Amino acid sequence: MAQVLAVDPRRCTGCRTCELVCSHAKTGQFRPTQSAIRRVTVLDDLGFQPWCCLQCTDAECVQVCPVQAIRRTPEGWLEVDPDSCIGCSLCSLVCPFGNIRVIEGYATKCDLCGGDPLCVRWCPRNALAVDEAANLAEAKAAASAAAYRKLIADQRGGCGVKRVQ
Amino acid sequence: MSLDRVVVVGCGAAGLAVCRELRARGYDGNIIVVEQSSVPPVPKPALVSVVAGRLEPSQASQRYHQLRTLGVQVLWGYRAVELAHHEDCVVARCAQGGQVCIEWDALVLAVGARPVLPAVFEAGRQVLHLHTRAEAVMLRELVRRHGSLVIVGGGPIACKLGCELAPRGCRVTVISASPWLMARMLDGEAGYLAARVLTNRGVDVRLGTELSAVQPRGNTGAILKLKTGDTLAADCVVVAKGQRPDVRWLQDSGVRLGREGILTDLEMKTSRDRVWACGDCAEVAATGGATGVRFGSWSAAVNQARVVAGSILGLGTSYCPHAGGNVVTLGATQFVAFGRSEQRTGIRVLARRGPDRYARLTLRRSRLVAAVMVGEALPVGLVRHLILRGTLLSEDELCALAAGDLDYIVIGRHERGDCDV
Repeated sequence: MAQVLAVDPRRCTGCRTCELVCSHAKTGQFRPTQSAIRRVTVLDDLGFQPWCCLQCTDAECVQVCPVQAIRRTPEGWLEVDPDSCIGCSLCSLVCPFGNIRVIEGYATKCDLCGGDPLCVRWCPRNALAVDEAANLAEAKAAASAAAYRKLIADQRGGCGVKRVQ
Repeated sequence: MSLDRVVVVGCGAAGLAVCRELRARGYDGNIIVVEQSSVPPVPKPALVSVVAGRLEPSQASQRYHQLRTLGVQVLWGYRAVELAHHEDCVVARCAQGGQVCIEWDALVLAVGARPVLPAVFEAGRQVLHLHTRAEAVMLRELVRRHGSLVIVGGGPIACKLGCELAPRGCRVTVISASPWLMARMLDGEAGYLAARVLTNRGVDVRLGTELSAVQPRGNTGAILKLKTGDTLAADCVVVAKGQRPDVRWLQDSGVRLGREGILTDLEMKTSRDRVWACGDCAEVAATGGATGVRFGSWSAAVNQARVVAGSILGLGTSYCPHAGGNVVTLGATQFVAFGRSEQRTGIRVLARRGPDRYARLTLRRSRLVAAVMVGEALPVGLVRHLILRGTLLSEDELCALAAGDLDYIVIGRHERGDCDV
């Protein structure tokens, strides 16, 4: 099953440590603009959501690459082979989420740092984690269900869901 | 209607993608590809890397190994020469004179395009175009000898080639009749920045001038006379003045031709039943007119191929011309263009940040419709997304995008409308 970077936006404070760590790991410089993970500002600074490659199952970047430089590892994530990449930018053009950038002539995207992402290790609020996509979907569904139950409970004056005999 | 055999003419980006998409969508019939090259070709975006020695030709051609695993039969070295008008068969000939007639239930024309040779060059004279694997290998030898090279044309290929070869010890001159580089893609300001990147890397850029005469010199060399009166001697001349599809062999086939290529609708269907066209040879006419638009890019070819595969299998897909864009990377600097060139004239936001960063964004009713951007690590995906989705942009977001400070826009909080590009 494909592994992805799981983000908990309730914990993220927007400190951008992930961007700094990532850019240093990728380029040797602390330049957030060259990071594979990006902080998104949601609703005018009311919350934050770091964003990076979703390791798509049927990835367009893999299909469009003319030299097959983007490959899926046995563990399930996608990585760019720098020796093959020709910097044509087609992957960045077709990525529906804009999660691939061409930096210094080579495509750069999140490759989960080989399974042990530095952004996860350095996040001060543990807002990031590596998990399987299926687990994430289950967790999101459970969270939605819990929120829905709470909403109904609130609307009924805290009585909870009434059981029908 | 039976669909036992699909014949694909041409094995470039589009032909290969049609085979892959057909199999991915569950088609298990017979697929035959007719390709005029006798060896797997090098994808065009990779040719410059092969010349620069960054990539081996075999490494660049490895996508073609897919064909075997897909169970596709390829006739290497066969050139399609005739499409019978009243029969469903295509005739292909090989260099040795052998000829085959292949029957089809569905035919895909993905024959690509051929380089244009200006009239000033003698017909039959060997001129390199950087179009094939052999030309790439020949140019690579020149690079190893640190020879002198003149590139005629100022498009993306010319710029990328000059940018790669000058730092490797070649004396490179780029000659363009246009007043700025990549004139079809960029505006004057961005073209000026492209010329500056090339000049900084040691390329001699001569704009607004044309060749008046060419005299042969050795096997591949030439002495070039410019209309300005200058004379240039080169060990090799590369002509990069664009490409035109060679579709003359289809004139009596019942397939309607446009200004340059094969006319198709948005489903990539030609005027003849069960014949599709995609890639560089396809001229897409959205409204069924006598002329259309040819999209000469790798990403457009792949997207069109997907539409063809879906249409053959009756899935009712159609091509979205707005999905296109062009990105050229020179050194670390990216040059990005989206939208139609005439729409770039309606300037609304112009940003120049630092010596190497520039943006020209064009809006219509608060929606981004065209963009020209120059800089490092540009948010290409975001710009494409905004144009495709027709997202409403606030002034702050627009200025941030132009200044390079915007990475994402949360689509959900905006009204989404149809793209009116």
